[in-house]
Amino acid sequence: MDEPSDGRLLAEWSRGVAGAFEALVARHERALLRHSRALLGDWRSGEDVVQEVFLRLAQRPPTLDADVQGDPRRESAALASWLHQVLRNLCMDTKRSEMRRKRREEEAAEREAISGGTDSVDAADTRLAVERGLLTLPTDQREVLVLRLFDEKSYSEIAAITGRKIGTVGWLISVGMKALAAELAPLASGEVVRETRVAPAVPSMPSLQGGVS
Amino acid sequence: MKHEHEHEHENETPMESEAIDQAQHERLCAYVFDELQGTERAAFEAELLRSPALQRERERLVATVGLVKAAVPDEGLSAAVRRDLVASARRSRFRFLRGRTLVRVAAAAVLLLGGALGVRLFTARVDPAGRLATRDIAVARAPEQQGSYERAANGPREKRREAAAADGLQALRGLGYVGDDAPAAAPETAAPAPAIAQELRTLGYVGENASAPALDRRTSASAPAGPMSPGVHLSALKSAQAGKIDLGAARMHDSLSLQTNVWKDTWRTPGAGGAAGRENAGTRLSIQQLAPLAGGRTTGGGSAGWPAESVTVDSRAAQAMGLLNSMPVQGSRDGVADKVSVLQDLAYAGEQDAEVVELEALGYGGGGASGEEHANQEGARQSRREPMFTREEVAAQVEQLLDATRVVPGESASDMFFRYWGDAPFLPAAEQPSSTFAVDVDTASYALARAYLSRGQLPPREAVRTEEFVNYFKADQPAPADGKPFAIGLELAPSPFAKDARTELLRVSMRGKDVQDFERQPVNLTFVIDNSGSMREGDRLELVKRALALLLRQLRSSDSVAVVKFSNEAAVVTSMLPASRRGELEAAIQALPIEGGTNVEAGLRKGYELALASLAPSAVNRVILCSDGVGNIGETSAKGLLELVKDAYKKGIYLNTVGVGMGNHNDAFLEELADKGDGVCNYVDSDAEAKRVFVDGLASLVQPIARDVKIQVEFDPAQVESWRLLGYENRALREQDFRNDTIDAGEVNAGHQVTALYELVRRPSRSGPLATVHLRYKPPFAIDQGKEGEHARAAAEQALEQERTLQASAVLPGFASATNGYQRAVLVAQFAETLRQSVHARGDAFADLLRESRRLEKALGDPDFTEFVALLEKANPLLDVRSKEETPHVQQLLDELSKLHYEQALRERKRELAAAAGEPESSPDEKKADERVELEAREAIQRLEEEVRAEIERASGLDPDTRRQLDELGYGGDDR
Repeated sequence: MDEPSDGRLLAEWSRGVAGAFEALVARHERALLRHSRALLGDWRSGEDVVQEVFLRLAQRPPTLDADVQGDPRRESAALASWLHQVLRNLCMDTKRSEMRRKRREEEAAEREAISGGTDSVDAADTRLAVERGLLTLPTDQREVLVLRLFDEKSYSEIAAITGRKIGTVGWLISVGMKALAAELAPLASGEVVRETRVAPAVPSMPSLQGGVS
Repeated sequence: MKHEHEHEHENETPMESEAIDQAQHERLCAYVFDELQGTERAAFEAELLRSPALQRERERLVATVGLVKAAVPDEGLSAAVRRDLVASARRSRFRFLRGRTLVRVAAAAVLLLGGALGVRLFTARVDPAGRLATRDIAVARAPEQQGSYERAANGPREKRREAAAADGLQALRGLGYVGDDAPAAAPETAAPAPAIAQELRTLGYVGENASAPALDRRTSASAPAGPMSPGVHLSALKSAQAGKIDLGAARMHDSLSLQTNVWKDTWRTPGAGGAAGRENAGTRLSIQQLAPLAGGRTTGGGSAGWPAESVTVDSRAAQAMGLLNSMPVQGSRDGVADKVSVLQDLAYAGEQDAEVVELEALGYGGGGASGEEHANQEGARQSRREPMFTREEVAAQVEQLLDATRVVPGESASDMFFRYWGDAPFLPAAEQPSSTFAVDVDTASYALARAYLSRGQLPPREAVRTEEFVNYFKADQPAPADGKPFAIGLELAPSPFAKDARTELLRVSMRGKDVQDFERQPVNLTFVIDNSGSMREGDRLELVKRALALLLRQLRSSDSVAVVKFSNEAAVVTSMLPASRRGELEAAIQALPIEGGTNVEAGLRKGYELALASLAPSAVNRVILCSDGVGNIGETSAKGLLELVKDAYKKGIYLNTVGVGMGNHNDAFLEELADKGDGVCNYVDSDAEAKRVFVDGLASLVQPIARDVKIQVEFDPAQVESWRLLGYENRALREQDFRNDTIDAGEVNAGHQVTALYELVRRPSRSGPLATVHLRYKPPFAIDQGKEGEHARAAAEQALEQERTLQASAVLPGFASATNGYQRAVLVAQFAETLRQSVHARGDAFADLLRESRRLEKALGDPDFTEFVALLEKANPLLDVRSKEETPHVQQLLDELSKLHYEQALRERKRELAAAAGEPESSPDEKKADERVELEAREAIQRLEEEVRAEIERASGLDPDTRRQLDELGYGGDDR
C-alpha cells in the first residue's frame, strides 16, 4: 500500500510533519463516531467526545509496541484499539454528566435531526429505523453490535476494547441481535440474502529436507 | 435490560423457536460472524443442517445484518469541528514528551512558554513567574461510580484489577487515558473567563463535557454552576496503581489552579526491554473522605441524599490527609505540569476483566518483562526518579537502599557479591578448590536474545544465561567411541579479554554419545498446546502447528502421539495414536482454533492423564508443552504445577517445553517446568529454529542418554589462585552433594554437548594435574511393571562416574592456538557476559570481540556462528547507546558502597581463616596497618551513605532550599 501506515503517521506526527495528524483523523474518525454514537445515543455529544479523543492523540500519542511496528494492519488495529478505549472511557464520563443534566429531552430532539445527505426517502427511512432500533437496545448491547456490525471487529477485538471477556461479548451479541432482529423485523421484508461459504483451503505443509518417515 | 423477544416468524410455531437455546444462539451468532473455525465450524454446520429452526434463525440474523450494514452512518466530523481540532492539535504538538527527559524538558518548556503562563517546578530550576491566586484542586466523582466503587472495594473485582496490574493495563492508563468530569466552567463574570477556559482546554487541563463551551462551536453555555472560579477539575480515581505526584503551582491569567508535576514512574519506550511498570500503593478516595475538606464548596448538581458530585478541595488540606499522595498520575502534557489522571471506573460499564493478554495481542501496551528486575539496581534507579513525599518515606527508602549494599548476616562474601551484582565472584582456590554444579542443556536464552536483537532491542539482563548461549552451538568434540555415554574434553589457553596476564580460560566439555534414529527408543509424545488468545499474536499458534507437522514427519510407526489443547480449559484433540496415522494427527493440529485464556494447569493435567493412560515401559514417554508463556501464574499455582510435573516424572513421564513468541515469553518458568520434568526447554521463534529443534535435533529432543548429570571440577590451589565459573548460576550444588544421588540434576540427551567455561587466575606453572573433572550420572530409567499395573521407576539407580585430568603442561601458548570449538565457546560466552552486563566484563572492548569473531567465522564455516556474528553486529550500536547512558549518580554511590562492604567482608573472612588455621598473630605494625585500613573503610562508608541520603533528599524536593520555595508558594509543610 502506498498509504503510510498508522505507525508511520504517528512517528511523523511526533516529528511535527504537517498532515500526519489530519491523516490519522481521517482514517479513524468514522469508526470512532459510530462507536461514540452507539454509546451516547446522539450525534453531537459523540462528536465532542471524538474530538477530545483526537486531541489526546495529538498531545500524547501512544507508543506502539515493538511487536506491532512494521505491520500496517496490526499497527492500525493497535491504534484503533487505543482510540476506542480512550473514547469509551470519555463517553462514560460524558454519560454520567449527561444523565445528571437530563439531556434526554435534547437527545430526543436531536435524534430526529439525524440523517442528512441520503439519497432517497427509503434509504433515510431505513437508516432512521435502524438507528431507532439500535437505540432501543441497552448501551452494552448496542456498543458491541456497532463494533461488530459497522466496524467489523472480531469478538476478541471487541473484548479488548470494551474490557469484557469474549464469552460475554458473544452473549451480548447474541441477545442484542435477537432484540434487534425483532425490532427490525418489519423492515426485513422477507428478502433473504443467501450466502455461500467456501471452505478455507488447507494450508500447505512446508517442504522438508531429508526427513525419515 | 430488555427481556428477550419472542420472535414471531410466519412459519414458526413458538415451540420451534424455543428449540434454540441461548448457547446455540450464541454459537449461531459466532458462526454468522466468522468466529468459528476448523472443527468447531464443521461441527456447527452439521448442527445447522439438522435443525430447521436454526436455519431460519440464521436467515433472520443474516437479513438483519444486511439491513444494518446498509445503514452504516458514514459520516466524519463536521467541518467546523475538524478545523478546530486540527488547529488545537497543532498548537499542542510540541508539548508531548516522553521519557525521563520529562523534567529537564519541562524546565526548558517553561522558559519557552514564558509569559503566557508561569509555572513553578519543585525542582526549583525555574524561578517563579507570578503570583498565586487560588490553589484549589477539585476532585470529582460521579455518583454511580461512587456506589459501585464502594461495593467493589475489596471484592473480587478489586483483586482482579490489582492482579491485572500487568503492563498492558498500566500502559493503558499511562498512555493518555483521561476521563474528566468538568462541570460547566463558564463563570458568571465577564470576558476573561471564556478565554481562560479556552486556554485551559487547549493546555489540556480541563476535561469538558459536551455542554460546556466546546471550542467555540456552541455559543451558549449552560448556566454557571456556582460561584466557582474556573479551575482544574479532576476526577478522582481509585487505583492500586497511583503514582506519586509533586504539587506545583501555576498562574493562569488571574486565576490559579493547582497543577501537578509528574514524576514519571516508568514509561514504556521501544527498546526498553520491557521493564515492568512499578506499582505504587495508592489510597482510595471517596466522596466521604473528601467531603470534610470541601468546606461546603461544591459544584454541580448533587441531589438529596447523595454527596455532591464534585468537590473542591483545598490542596493543603488534602495533602495533609495524605490524599494527594495517592492520586494517579498521567504523563505530562505540555511538559510543565499535568493533570491528575483519571482511571475510569469500569465497574460502571460492567465487567472489567480486561484480558491483558488480548491487549498485548493487539499490540497495545508492552509485553511483560521477562524475569524479575535485578531488584537492587533497578530499585535504586527507579527510586531516584520517584519523589518521596514525606520525610519518613524518603528516609525509609534510603535506608532500604543502603541496607541492600550491606552484608546480610550469615551471608558469605561471595553470596553477597552475587546478590548485589548478579554475578559469581572469583573464588580463591585455597578456600574453595572445587566447583560443583548440575548440568543444563537448555538453549532457550540464546534463541530469545536472538529474537530481541533481530527486532533492534537488547535482551533484558535476566534473560541472558551464559551457559545457554554457549551450549546452543553444535558439538565440536568427537562423540565417545568406546561405548561410554560421554567423552570429556579439557582445553586451557590464555584469555583474550582479561587485562590480567595471568588469566586463563578452561573449557570443560562433555559430549554425549550419538544415537542413530533407528536406534532410538520409541517415543510416546503428548503435545499440550496453548491455544489462548495471545497465541494469535505473531502467528505463534501457526508456528507451533508447522513445527509439530515437521516433528510428526520424523516419527516412526512405533512412535505414538496424542494432542491436548488448552485455553480456559483443556480438551483432548486426539487420543494417543500411532504416528503412522499422521494425516489425522496433522489435521487435528491444523484445526486448532484460537480460544480464550491460559490455564496451564488444566492443560498439563489433561496431558499427563493421556500420557499415563498410554504409558509404555519400553518407550520414552514425554509431554511436550507448547506455549508463549504461562501467564501471570501466582506463586501457589506455580508451586503446584512444579509438584505436578515432579510427580509425573516419578511415574515415568518426562516434560519438554517449547516457548514461542517474544512479548509474553516467560521463559524462566517454562525452563523451571522442563527442569522438574527432566526435559529440555527450547525457544522456537522461526521455522528455521523449528527445523533445528524438531528435525535435526530430534534425537536430542527425545532420547535421553543419562540423567541426574552432575559435574565437579577440582583445582590445584598451588597452580590456581582463584577461579570463576561462567554461567550455571542457578545450578550450583554444594560440594558434598556431588555424590548425593537423591538430588535432581540435569538430563542429557543424545548428541548433546555440554560446555562449562572457567576463568582462572593462575599461579606460576608447575607440573602435575591442574584440574580434574568428575562427571557423575545415572543411566536413563527403565520402568517396572508393578503388581497392580502401576508403573514405577526402576529401584536400582546405580550412578556411574567418568573423570579426566588436565595437566599443567597442556596449557596452550595462545588463544589462537586453541581449537575452533574452544574459541567459539569463549567468544560466545564473552558476548553473553557483555549482554548481561556482567561485572567481570565491564571495560572489555566489544571491538575486540567483534574482530576475533569475524576472524573465526572464516575459519569455522558454521552457519550458526555466521548468524552469531550478525548478531554481534546488530548488538554493536545498541551496546554503544547503552554504554553512553549515564548511571545515575546515586547508583554509582551505591555501587561504591557495596564494593566497600564486600571488600570489608573479604578481609574479615581472611582474618577468620587465618585465626582458625592457627597462624601466628601479626606484628604490631601489621596490626596498626590493618586497623587503619578498617577505619578508612568505615569512614568512606559513612561518607558515602551521607552523600546518598543527601542526593535522594534533593531529588525528592526535601532539601532546605526547595522547602523554602515551597513555603513561599504557600505550599505548606509535609512534616507529619
